[in-house]
Amino acid sequence: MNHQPLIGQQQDHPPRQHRTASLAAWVLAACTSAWVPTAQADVTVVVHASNAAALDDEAITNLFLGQMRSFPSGAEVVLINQSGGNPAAQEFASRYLKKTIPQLKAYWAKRVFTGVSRAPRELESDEDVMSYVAAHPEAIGYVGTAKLIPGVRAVTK
Amino acid sequence: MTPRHPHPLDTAAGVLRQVRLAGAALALGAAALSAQAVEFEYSGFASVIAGRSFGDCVPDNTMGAKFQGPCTRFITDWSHAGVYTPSASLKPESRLGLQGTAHFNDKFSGTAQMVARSLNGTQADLEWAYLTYKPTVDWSLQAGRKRLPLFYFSDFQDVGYAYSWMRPPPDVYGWDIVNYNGANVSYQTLLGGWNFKGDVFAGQEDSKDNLYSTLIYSGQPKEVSWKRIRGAALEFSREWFTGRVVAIASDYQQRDQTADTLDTLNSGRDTGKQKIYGLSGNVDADPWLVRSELSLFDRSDFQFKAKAYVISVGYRLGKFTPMLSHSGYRETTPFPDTYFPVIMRTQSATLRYDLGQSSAIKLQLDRFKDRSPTPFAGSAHVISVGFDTVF
Repeated sequence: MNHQPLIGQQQDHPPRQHRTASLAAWVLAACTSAWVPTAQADVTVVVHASNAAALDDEAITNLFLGQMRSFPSGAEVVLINQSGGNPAAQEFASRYLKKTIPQLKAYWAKRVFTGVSRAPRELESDEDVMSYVAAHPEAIGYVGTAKLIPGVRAVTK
Repeated sequence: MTPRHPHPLDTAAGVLRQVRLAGAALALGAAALSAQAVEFEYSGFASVIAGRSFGDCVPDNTMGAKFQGPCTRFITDWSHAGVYTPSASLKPESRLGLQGTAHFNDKFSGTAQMVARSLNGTQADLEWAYLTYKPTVDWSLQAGRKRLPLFYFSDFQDVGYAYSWMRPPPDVYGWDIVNYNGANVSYQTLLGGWNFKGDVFAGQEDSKDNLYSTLIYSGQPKEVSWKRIRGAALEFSREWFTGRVVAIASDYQQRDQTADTLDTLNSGRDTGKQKIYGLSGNVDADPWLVRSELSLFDRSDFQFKAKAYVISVGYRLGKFTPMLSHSGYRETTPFPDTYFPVIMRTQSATLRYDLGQSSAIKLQLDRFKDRSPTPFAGSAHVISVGFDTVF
């Protein structure tokens, strides 16, 4: 199960509630949880330090939906996602792709099982993403931290 | 003429033969490129769905003998002859799919997808097995066994997780052929803010012991062939809209396997021609979603033309997606004395709940009306619950 941080808002209610009230709160939380930004943390899109590509938001969206498959230089792109449970993944999907994590999974399921494209590689943490990108000139990923390691370059602020 | 009795081993052997062929093709590809590291990738999907029909008893119907017994019946999967009856069952729709892709290098890969359906017992069918060659990032050539892209959802109709319905509406989705052997060329490009994907394809399919035919015929196994299939599809999308147009033409034959003769079609010929056109428009303007499709089948050699459509509107409420659908199928014929047209309409309400990141549970209610002058399956109500996952 994906516990999104804001579901925790239920805890703000007084502890002894009527049973139907807590059920209503649960339904309300389940319904609203995906509407509110799930993480305040910022997200930074990163590429290999040698990759000089200038990418605007639209290019980032097109790249991460597999609709643009190469950098402006012509080099083929390798997409790196983070696990759907990570706040950075949720923030990135909502801000750049205008999708929830399940919507994004469904989008890629369609593409993978119809042979249109490969699914993006999924890594566990900001550190994993940065070390992969630092080692692969064709990779693009995103991280939830502003502290980048040497070898990667931020393409967004 | 040698009478031929189909044996279960026939189909099992057929699948094995296909697996071996695909294996040989992959091995050949691998051998040709053995100098390079081959990278394997696996994924899968599963849907477990239980359902039953209910409502006023409709004893009169014109379905095949196999489906005559129950009081109400609902054809949930025409292509695989999945039919719900008043006894709740997991059989008509549950399935498990596994897909493997071997990437020989940046340009060359081989993909195989097996699907096991609870309808077929333990047998798994090789639904896809093709080689892909990508000379550039925008072009791709594929050859082998693939899904015939009759409709927008055809390519991924088995992947329940990828859509909000319990199933793509049977009024639209469901003909006698699902897959084909052949080749396709596709091109994708971004142009003026639109993402275009164009496909042309050609091939053929011979479906022995055709399941769809068992819905209609009693105890006479049929081999259905779509020969000289050729078609083109264009998909176009931008932010919140995805549209698709498709046109397909093919020859059509139906062989009676018992007599080993070609059936004479209503037109008097034994080889018919058919034309298929489709138009689809989908909106994902969160929280709203709209799915719509129109499909036209010209089967004049059967003395009918068919029009099928669906329109669905959903609204996402966090993890819940309630959706209402209206679909229909109407045949028209210039020969009402010799051809009994099928006319049906369905209203559906679906509730999807996203469970974690890659599973969903769904509940769907259907109100199906058989408006054919001579009832085919008869009207019925249907309730189904399902679990879909991808991995």
